[in-house]
Amino acid sequence: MLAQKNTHPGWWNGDKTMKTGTKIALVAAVIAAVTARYWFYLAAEVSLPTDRTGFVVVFLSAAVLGVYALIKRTSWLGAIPAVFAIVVGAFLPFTVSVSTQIVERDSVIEVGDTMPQFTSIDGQGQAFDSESLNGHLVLIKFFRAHW
Amino acid sequence: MSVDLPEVIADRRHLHGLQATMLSDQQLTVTDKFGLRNEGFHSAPGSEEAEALPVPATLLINKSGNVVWMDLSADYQRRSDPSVVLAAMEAHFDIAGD
Repeated sequence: MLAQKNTHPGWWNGDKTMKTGTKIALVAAVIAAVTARYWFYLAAEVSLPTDRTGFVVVFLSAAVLGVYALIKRTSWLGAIPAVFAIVVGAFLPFTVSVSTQIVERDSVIEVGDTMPQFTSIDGQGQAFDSESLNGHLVLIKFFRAHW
Repeated sequence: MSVDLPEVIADRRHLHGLQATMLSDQQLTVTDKFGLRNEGFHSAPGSEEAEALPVPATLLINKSGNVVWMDLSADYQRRSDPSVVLAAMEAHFDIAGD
Protein backbone atom coordinates (compact mmCIF):
# COMPACT_ATOMS: atom_id res chain seq x y z
CA MET A 1 0.00 0.00 0.00
CA LEU A 2 2.78 2.41 0.92
CA ALA A 3 4.62 1.73 -2.33
CA GLN A 4 1.56 2.64 -4.36
CA LYS A 5 1.63 6.17 -3.03
CA ASN A 6 4.78 6.82 -5.03
CA THR A 7 3.44 5.64 -8.37
CA HIS A 8 1.43 8.80 -8.82
CA PRO A 9 2.47 10.23 -12.20
CA GLY A 10 4.28 13.54 -12.12
CA TRP A 11 7.63 15.18 -12.66
CA TRP A 12 8.59 14.79 -8.99
CA ASN A 13 8.65 11.02 -9.29
CA GLY A 14 11.85 11.00 -11.32
CA ASP A 15 12.67 9.90 -14.84
CA LYS A 16 10.64 6.69 -14.84
CA THR A 17 7.29 8.42 -14.64
CA MET A 18 8.22 11.75 -16.21
CA LYS A 19 6.26 12.36 -19.38
CA THR A 20 8.25 12.51 -22.63
CA GLY A 21 6.90 16.00 -23.26
CA THR A 22 8.16 17.21 -19.88
CA LYS A 23 11.64 15.83 -20.57
CA ILE A 24 11.74 17.59 -23.94
CA ALA A 25 10.49 20.78 -22.27
CA LEU A 26 13.30 20.66 -19.70
CA VAL A 27 15.91 20.19 -22.44
CA ALA A 28 14.42 23.11 -24.39
CA ALA A 29 14.41 25.33 -21.29
CA VAL A 30 18.05 24.50 -20.49
CA ILE A 31 19.11 25.30 -24.08
CA ALA A 32 17.18 28.60 -23.98
CA ALA A 33 18.50 29.56 -20.54
CA VAL A 34 22.16 28.75 -21.22
CA THR A 35 22.13 30.50 -24.61
CA ALA A 36 20.35 33.55 -23.18
CA ARG A 37 22.85 33.73 -20.31
CA TYR A 38 25.74 33.65 -22.81
CA TRP A 39 23.94 36.24 -24.97
CA PHE A 40 23.62 38.72 -22.11
CA TYR A 41 27.21 38.06 -21.03
CA LEU A 42 28.41 38.97 -24.54
CA ALA A 43 26.09 41.98 -24.63
CA ALA A 44 27.56 43.25 -21.35
CA GLU A 45 31.07 42.78 -22.76
CA VAL A 46 30.04 44.70 -25.89
CA SER A 47 31.06 41.69 -27.96
CA LEU A 48 27.91 40.29 -29.49
CA PRO A 49 28.94 39.08 -32.93
CA THR A 50 27.73 41.01 -35.99
CA ASP A 51 26.50 37.75 -37.46
CA ARG A 52 24.12 36.31 -34.88
CA THR A 53 22.77 33.56 -37.14
CA GLY A 54 24.07 30.85 -34.80
CA PHE A 55 22.25 32.41 -31.86
CA VAL A 56 19.04 32.77 -33.86
CA VAL A 57 19.20 29.10 -34.91
CA VAL A 58 19.76 27.88 -31.34
CA PHE A 59 17.05 30.14 -29.88
CA LEU A 60 14.51 29.12 -32.51
CA SER A 61 15.41 25.45 -31.96
CA ALA A 62 14.66 25.89 -28.25
CA ALA A 63 11.31 27.50 -29.13
CA VAL A 64 10.43 24.71 -31.58
CA LEU A 65 11.42 22.08 -28.98
CA GLY A 66 9.16 23.86 -26.49
CA VAL A 67 6.23 23.69 -28.91
CA TYR A 68 7.02 20.03 -29.67
CA ALA A 69 7.06 19.28 -25.92
CA LEU A 70 3.57 20.75 -25.55
CA ILE A 71 2.34 18.71 -28.52
CA LYS A 72 3.76 15.55 -26.89
CA ARG A 73 1.87 16.57 -23.72
CA THR A 74 3.69 17.64 -20.58
CA SER A 75 2.51 17.51 -16.99
CA TRP A 76 1.12 20.89 -16.04
CA LEU A 77 4.28 21.81 -14.19
CA GLY A 78 6.22 20.58 -17.21
CA ALA A 79 4.48 23.22 -19.31
CA ILE A 80 6.41 25.93 -17.45
CA PRO A 81 9.84 25.08 -18.97
CA ALA A 82 8.15 24.58 -22.36
CA VAL A 83 6.56 28.03 -22.32
CA PHE A 84 9.80 29.55 -20.99
CA ALA A 85 11.71 28.02 -23.93
CA ILE A 86 9.14 29.32 -26.41
CA VAL A 87 9.11 32.87 -25.01
CA VAL A 88 12.91 33.22 -24.68
CA GLY A 89 13.56 31.31 -27.89
CA ALA A 90 11.25 33.55 -29.91
CA PHE A 91 11.90 36.90 -28.24
CA LEU A 92 15.68 37.23 -28.63
CA PRO A 93 15.71 36.43 -32.38
CA PHE A 94 12.93 39.05 -32.66
CA THR A 95 15.20 41.66 -31.04
CA VAL A 96 17.91 40.77 -33.58
CA SER A 97 15.49 41.36 -36.45
CA VAL A 98 14.58 44.85 -35.21
CA SER A 99 17.97 45.97 -33.92
CA THR A 100 19.10 47.71 -37.11
CA GLN A 101 19.41 51.46 -36.67
CA ILE A 102 18.75 53.83 -39.53
CA VAL A 103 19.69 57.50 -39.67
CA GLU A 104 18.67 60.12 -42.21
CA ARG A 105 21.77 60.06 -44.42
CA ASP A 106 21.66 63.73 -45.41
CA SER A 107 21.47 65.12 -41.88
CA VAL A 108 23.86 62.87 -39.96
CA ILE A 109 27.00 64.54 -38.64
CA GLU A 110 30.33 63.50 -40.17
CA VAL A 111 34.01 63.58 -39.29
CA GLY A 112 35.36 67.07 -40.08
CA ASP A 113 32.04 68.78 -39.34
CA THR A 114 31.85 71.46 -36.69
CA MET A 115 29.99 70.32 -33.61
CA PRO A 116 26.53 71.94 -33.55
CA GLN A 117 25.98 74.34 -30.62
CA PHE A 118 23.20 73.18 -28.36
CA THR A 119 21.55 73.67 -24.99
CA SER A 120 20.13 70.95 -22.78
CA ILE A 121 19.30 69.99 -19.20
CA ASP A 122 21.53 67.87 -16.98
CA GLY A 123 20.66 65.28 -14.34
CA GLN A 124 20.27 67.99 -11.67
CA GLY A 125 17.80 69.89 -13.85
CA GLN A 126 20.43 72.57 -14.52
CA ALA A 127 20.67 74.22 -17.92
CA PHE A 128 23.63 73.14 -19.99
CA ASP A 129 25.12 75.16 -22.84
CA SER A 130 27.56 73.53 -25.25
CA GLU A 131 29.51 76.81 -25.22
CA SER A 132 31.10 75.53 -22.03
CA LEU A 133 32.75 72.82 -24.13
CA ASN A 134 34.51 75.24 -26.48
CA GLY A 135 38.28 74.93 -26.36
CA HIS A 136 38.11 71.54 -24.66
CA LEU A 137 38.58 68.01 -25.84
CA VAL A 138 35.11 66.50 -25.74
CA LEU A 139 33.68 63.03 -25.87
CA ILE A 140 29.94 62.95 -26.54
CA LYS A 141 28.00 59.75 -26.25
CA PHE A 142 24.41 59.29 -27.35
CA PHE A 143 22.58 56.56 -25.46
CA ARG A 144 19.22 55.10 -26.30
CA ALA A 145 18.34 55.39 -22.60
CA HIS A 146 19.47 54.15 -19.18
CA TRP A 147 18.54 50.56 -19.97
CA MET B 1 22.96 62.34 -23.92
CA SER B 2 19.82 60.28 -23.75
CA VAL B 3 16.05 60.65 -23.86
CA ASP B 4 15.84 59.96 -20.13
CA LEU B 5 14.16 62.50 -17.87
CA PRO B 6 16.57 64.47 -15.60
CA GLU B 7 15.29 62.55 -12.54
CA VAL B 8 15.99 59.21 -14.21
CA ILE B 9 19.46 60.40 -15.20
CA ALA B 10 20.22 61.46 -11.63
CA ASP B 11 18.99 58.10 -10.37
CA ARG B 12 20.96 55.99 -12.83
CA ARG B 13 24.02 58.17 -12.57
CA HIS B 14 24.13 57.32 -8.90
CA LEU B 15 23.42 53.65 -9.57
CA HIS B 16 26.16 53.26 -12.16
CA GLY B 17 28.63 55.62 -10.46
CA LEU B 18 28.99 57.72 -13.60
CA GLN B 19 31.19 60.82 -13.43
CA ALA B 20 30.47 62.46 -16.77
CA THR B 21 27.88 65.17 -17.37
CA MET B 22 24.67 63.43 -18.37
CA LEU B 23 22.20 65.41 -20.44
CA SER B 24 18.52 64.86 -21.04
CA ASP B 25 17.24 65.15 -24.58
CA GLN B 26 13.64 64.05 -24.36
CA GLN B 27 12.49 66.10 -27.33
CA LEU B 28 15.48 64.86 -29.38
CA THR B 29 16.41 68.44 -30.27
CA VAL B 30 20.12 67.80 -29.76
CA THR B 31 19.85 64.35 -31.33
CA ASP B 32 18.35 65.98 -34.43
CA LYS B 33 21.08 68.64 -34.56
CA PHE B 34 23.56 65.80 -34.84
CA GLY B 35 21.24 63.91 -37.21
CA LEU B 36 21.25 60.89 -34.94
CA ARG B 37 17.53 60.16 -34.65
CA ASN B 38 16.92 56.47 -35.28
CA GLU B 39 14.45 56.06 -38.13
CA GLY B 40 14.32 52.30 -37.70
CA PHE B 41 12.31 50.23 -35.25
CA HIS B 42 11.42 52.16 -32.09
CA SER B 43 11.28 50.06 -28.95
CA ALA B 44 11.37 52.47 -26.02
CA PRO B 45 9.29 51.35 -23.05
CA GLY B 46 6.04 53.31 -22.69
CA SER B 47 7.32 54.96 -19.52
CA GLU B 48 10.00 56.81 -21.48
CA GLU B 49 7.43 58.76 -23.48
CA ALA B 50 10.06 59.64 -26.04
CA GLU B 51 8.84 59.78 -29.61
CA ALA B 52 12.03 58.22 -30.91
CA LEU B 53 15.51 57.22 -29.79
CA PRO B 54 18.95 58.26 -30.92
CA VAL B 55 21.25 55.84 -32.67
CA PRO B 56 23.94 54.88 -30.14
CA ALA B 57 26.92 57.00 -31.10
CA THR B 58 30.26 58.17 -29.74
CA LEU B 59 31.91 61.36 -31.01
CA LEU B 60 35.28 62.92 -30.29
CA ILE B 61 35.48 66.71 -30.66
CA ASN B 62 38.80 68.59 -30.72
CA LYS B 63 39.53 71.96 -29.15
CA SER B 64 38.52 73.76 -32.34
CA GLY B 65 35.08 72.18 -32.10
CA ASN B 66 35.49 69.80 -35.03
CA VAL B 67 34.44 66.17 -35.05
CA VAL B 68 37.67 64.19 -35.30
CA TRP B 69 36.28 60.69 -34.82
CA MET B 70 32.90 59.09 -34.51
CA ASP B 71 31.39 55.67 -34.19
CA LEU B 72 27.77 55.02 -35.06
CA SER B 73 26.19 51.75 -34.03
CA ALA B 74 24.35 50.46 -37.06
CA ASP B 75 22.78 47.99 -34.67
CA TYR B 76 21.73 48.90 -31.12
CA GLN B 77 22.83 45.51 -29.79
CA ARG B 78 26.38 46.47 -30.67
CA ARG B 79 27.87 49.64 -29.19
CA SER B 80 31.23 51.33 -29.20
CA ASP B 81 33.61 49.00 -27.45
CA PRO B 82 35.41 50.94 -24.68
CA SER B 83 38.79 49.79 -26.01
CA VAL B 84 37.95 51.14 -29.48
CA VAL B 85 36.96 54.51 -28.01
CA LEU B 86 40.10 54.64 -25.85
CA ALA B 87 42.30 53.85 -28.86
CA ALA B 88 40.54 56.58 -30.87
CA MET B 89 41.06 59.07 -28.03
CA GLU B 90 44.76 58.28 -27.92
CA ALA B 91 45.09 58.56 -31.68
CA HIS B 92 43.02 61.68 -32.24
CA PHE B 93 43.39 63.69 -29.08
CA ASP B 94 47.19 63.41 -29.13
CA ILE B 95 47.38 64.70 -32.70
CA ALA B 96 44.34 66.91 -33.03
CA GLY B 97 44.25 67.96 -29.42
CA ASP B 98 46.90 70.66 -29.96
